[in-house]
Amino acid sequence: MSWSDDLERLATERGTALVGYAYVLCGDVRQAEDLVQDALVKVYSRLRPPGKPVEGARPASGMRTILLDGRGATHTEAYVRRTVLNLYLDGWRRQRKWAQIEPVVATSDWVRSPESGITARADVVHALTRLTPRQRSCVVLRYFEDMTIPQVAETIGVAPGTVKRYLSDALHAMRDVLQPDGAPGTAIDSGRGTR
Amino acid sequence: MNRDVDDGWTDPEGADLLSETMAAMYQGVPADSPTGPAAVVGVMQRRARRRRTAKRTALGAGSLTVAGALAFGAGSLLGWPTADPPPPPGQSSSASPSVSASPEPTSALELIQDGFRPRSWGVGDITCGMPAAELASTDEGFRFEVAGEVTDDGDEMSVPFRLTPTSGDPSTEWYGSTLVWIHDGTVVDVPRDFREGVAEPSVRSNGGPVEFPVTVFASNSMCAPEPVPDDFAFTGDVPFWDEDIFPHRLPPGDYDVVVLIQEYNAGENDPYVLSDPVPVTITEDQQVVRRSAG
Repeated sequence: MSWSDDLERLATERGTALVGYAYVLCGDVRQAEDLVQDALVKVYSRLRPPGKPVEGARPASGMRTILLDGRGATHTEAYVRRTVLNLYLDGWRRQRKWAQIEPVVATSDWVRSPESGITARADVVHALTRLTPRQRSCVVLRYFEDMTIPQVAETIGVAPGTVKRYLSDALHAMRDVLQPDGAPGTAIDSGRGTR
Repeated sequence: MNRDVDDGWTDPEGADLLSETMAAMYQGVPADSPTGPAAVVGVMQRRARRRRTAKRTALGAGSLTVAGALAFGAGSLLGWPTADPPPPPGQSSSASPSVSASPEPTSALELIQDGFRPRSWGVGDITCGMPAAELASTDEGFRFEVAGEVTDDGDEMSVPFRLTPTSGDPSTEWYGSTLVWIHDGTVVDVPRDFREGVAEPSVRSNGGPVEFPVTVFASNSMCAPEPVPDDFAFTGDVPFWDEDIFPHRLPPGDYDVVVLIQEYNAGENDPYVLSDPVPVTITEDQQVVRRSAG
């Protein structure tokens, strides 16, 4: 299969999942679509296919992927996801212009699930917008990709202590929607105490 | 589950709600978006093909392509911020016949397009050609000043800066340090991205003054756009942000450089702080050297 065919396959079969991942990161569907498009172009512009690492080379760190929709993800898809993360972290300031053009924010329908309160999730979606990209990336890697602190640190290239600071600050900023009623100050503060 | 691992962090209550919400977001994106990846496969294939062709050309043609890239000011074309160094000083942009056959202007004021604002640059109201006297920090709670001796090694300058919170939030995190170039009281170059001139990716004062160096180097002016030629072969990242290319160096002469840093927030129009102007000279071979103010 040529790179062009492979790109088409990944875009058509996994494009929605990739946009979903980017959307979790950036919180804007249009921006997420652009992030994925640019990540795919970047990955498939490589003359060496991403699925064929250099012989003897150590696998890139953090090349993990999530399988929330129950479908297998290829090494290439994992690579695209990591590229999406890097583009998000590197280019977030420019990306804001997309949102200025046509903001597409989450609606309750998009976070609807029969086993959980719609309002609570919508509040969390909104609270995520308060975070800086680094804080949000740490939250996504920790609580969406289910990484350990050292894995998060390795993935975004900072010290574990820095990850804890970002997480602590992020969760503190979201404490009003994450803390259960009647338990003020207990939940998030426990995280802050581990710094 | 990885979150059960004792890695020195205790997940707070509410983490499950966070996980569930993000999982719902992930699964809730519409599959039939007219602008999603499946709908723009052709566009992506063309972009990737153009890049691959350019890379093969680069591999085959070696230094010829590298020279071409420098002539086109590839450093200023990058769509995304990049850690790649700028084109070396001394590499002239004059060998760019397919972009502009006209001779390079001798003054930056002749070079720039008044009122132009690169698509990739969206900070505040700073535009090309505006009077330098109108440049002003949008966060007045900090003092941003040169803090020591400027050094230059013949290619670029390193300027030590000190950021001091006066009435501003001392825990504010700052991102990047970018350069605004002024000639004869007029803005003649705005930053191409937020890593231009940066020494550290972010700065946090932690309650007191923080000092950090900023590298000042000559680059192509983002105030002098040219249309992308049809046959232009990109050797770096495709400049999907900017609809123009920026092949023109700032002409030799005296300039003032103002460093801009912006608050690290996720919101729109984050406040920024401008430094004192630093007097510099761009030499005939595009080196940046110190100049005595006056």
